[in-house]
Amino acid sequence: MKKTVKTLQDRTRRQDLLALFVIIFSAVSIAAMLAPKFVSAAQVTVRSITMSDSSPSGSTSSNGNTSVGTGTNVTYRVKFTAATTGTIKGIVISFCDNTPFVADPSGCSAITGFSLSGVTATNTSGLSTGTWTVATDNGGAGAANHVFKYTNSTAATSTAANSVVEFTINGVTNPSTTNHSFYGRIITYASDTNASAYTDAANGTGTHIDDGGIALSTANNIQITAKVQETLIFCVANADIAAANCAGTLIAPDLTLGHGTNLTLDSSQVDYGSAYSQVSSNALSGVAIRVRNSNVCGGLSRIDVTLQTPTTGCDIPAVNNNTGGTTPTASATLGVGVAGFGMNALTPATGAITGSSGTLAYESVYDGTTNTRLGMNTTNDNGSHPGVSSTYGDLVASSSGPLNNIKTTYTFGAQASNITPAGIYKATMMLIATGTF
Amino acid sequence: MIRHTMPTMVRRKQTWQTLGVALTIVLGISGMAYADPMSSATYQVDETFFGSGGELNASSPNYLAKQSAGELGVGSTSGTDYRAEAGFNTDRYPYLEFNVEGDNIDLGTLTPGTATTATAHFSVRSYLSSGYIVLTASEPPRNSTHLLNPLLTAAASNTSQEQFGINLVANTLPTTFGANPGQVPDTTFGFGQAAPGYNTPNLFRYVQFSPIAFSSRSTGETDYTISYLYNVTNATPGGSYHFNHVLVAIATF
Repeated sequence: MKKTVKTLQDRTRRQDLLALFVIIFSAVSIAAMLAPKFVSAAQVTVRSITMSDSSPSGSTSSNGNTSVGTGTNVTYRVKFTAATTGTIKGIVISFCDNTPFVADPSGCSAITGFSLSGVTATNTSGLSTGTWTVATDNGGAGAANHVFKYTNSTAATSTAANSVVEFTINGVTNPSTTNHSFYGRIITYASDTNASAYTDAANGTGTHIDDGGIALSTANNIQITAKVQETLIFCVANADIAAANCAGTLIAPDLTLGHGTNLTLDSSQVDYGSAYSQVSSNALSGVAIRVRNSNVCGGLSRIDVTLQTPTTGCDIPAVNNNTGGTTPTASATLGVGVAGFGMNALTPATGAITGSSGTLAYESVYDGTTNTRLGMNTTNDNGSHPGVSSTYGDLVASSSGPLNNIKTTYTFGAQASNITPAGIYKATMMLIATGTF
Repeated sequence: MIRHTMPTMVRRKQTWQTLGVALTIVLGISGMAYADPMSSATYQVDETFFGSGGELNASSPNYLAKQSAGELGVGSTSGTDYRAEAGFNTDRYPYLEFNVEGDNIDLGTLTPGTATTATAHFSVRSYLSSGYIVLTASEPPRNSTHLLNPLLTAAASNTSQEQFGINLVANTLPTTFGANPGQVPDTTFGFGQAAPGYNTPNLFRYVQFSPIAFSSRSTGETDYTISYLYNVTNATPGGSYHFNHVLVAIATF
């Protein structure tokens, strides 16, 4: 009995010592664990904020069709890589003038001119689906609308570490100081309540997942102004104008229509002669080329030998002489032995000038696709064809937009009949180019 | 004795059990964590100095200095997962400094067949970053409804075509103008470069929102010169063309 009691007492004593040792060891461990130590809440990596416009707010854009260059209504594309796996229910970005450090003891200085008032968020990726709500505030005590809070109380999808999170903040007003650095402090939260409760105070960040700082900068704009003059370059010559911009020596056309040794007209054939033009213009609504005949009748008039002036007669009449104000018909081939005078026009298929652009469309009455067909409209259709004898001439060709070094070849043809009076016949043809700017 | 001893042992046992439970509870709720501002995926480091001594703000009426002695290492160091600035005299503040000279350039009247050129300047430096890019954010020069034709692919000046383009290097055609990026004070401190498409002499390009300059690491100041090229033709609509050139610098940290 005495021995049993003693054994029991010894066992109890050993157990007491063992328990005491465990307690002391645990207490030391607890002390070590309770001592402050730095465990990383982790820093979001590869983080950036891309601004759509670096202009300071209050700037004026010289491009009237865009707000780029005004520093207002700017979009900020936020992008970062999560460092810690977790379900993000809130993201806070506090924009500060002094440092990018979250919960910095120096606080968050106001950025002159900066505002998040009225911003929205779009194009979100890397986060839970559902409704994300935007709010802005003053961070507890600072400037109004410098803290962006993006929360989703029902977010349930975890964002894995090393995955990319992106979203766009729309409608930001940049700082009003140019060439000025400022900062964004990003904090991610597992609780939307904690995100909403964020303040810029040293202890205002609260329990969160990750954080990180970003530097941004406004910048001056570079303004460049240059002028382009309205231009119309139009020239006529007796030969193909090969050089651009009507360069080179150009000789005025002086055509003698006829055949044989004396270059005379008769009823046996139509005789032809050509003139050439080149036109360039930056007229936005295009260019019109008209032809005007110095002879009222529109054809070839015989010269009074004494006065050396055209007579009023029209012994070689205009071809395709419409009547009744109708729209001129297509050009026609002069019949055998029929007296007549006319022209056609086209852009040659070969020999275009390098860099030429634009197209001239030719009126059917002067269409030179078949170069034996001629026209010379003399009747006013009360439209674009008032006739070659009208004040401004008859429309030959036109474009709907600018032209650059476009050539035209004009072919004039004439034939006499067996009863055409002898004499010298003349006409002065004027080609008139008009640009509509 | 047995009757007296047994209750005592039971009480002792109950006492130790209680202490054990309490200890467990304390262990379960122990531990506090503080966020550390500097870390990577594989390690973290605080502002640490190993050396013989130093002073952050040594000063007199005539000078102000930060001093250190016996530092074990100074300068930039990096690996695949980290980058650090070693030494006592390091700044812990990451930043982006972006200065654009707000030039107001009047090119006068553009003449078809004759190239017109101009230059402008900006500088960038970025500290404690993974680098930066500079984007050109503006549309090409505009006259009301007409935009000058931008060179979407780098090309040489051609006076028979309507062209607008830029580059960030020194050119000899169509005239001698522009300059290569300059590192301040030298290439051991600055690492900025002209971006692909804008880095070939005598070839010009313009794509809105494309990067025109970059650095792939933390860098001192790089001075850039933008070279502008304008060519117009007879068909270029008349009027006054404005180009409000907005540049955006984006640093990645």
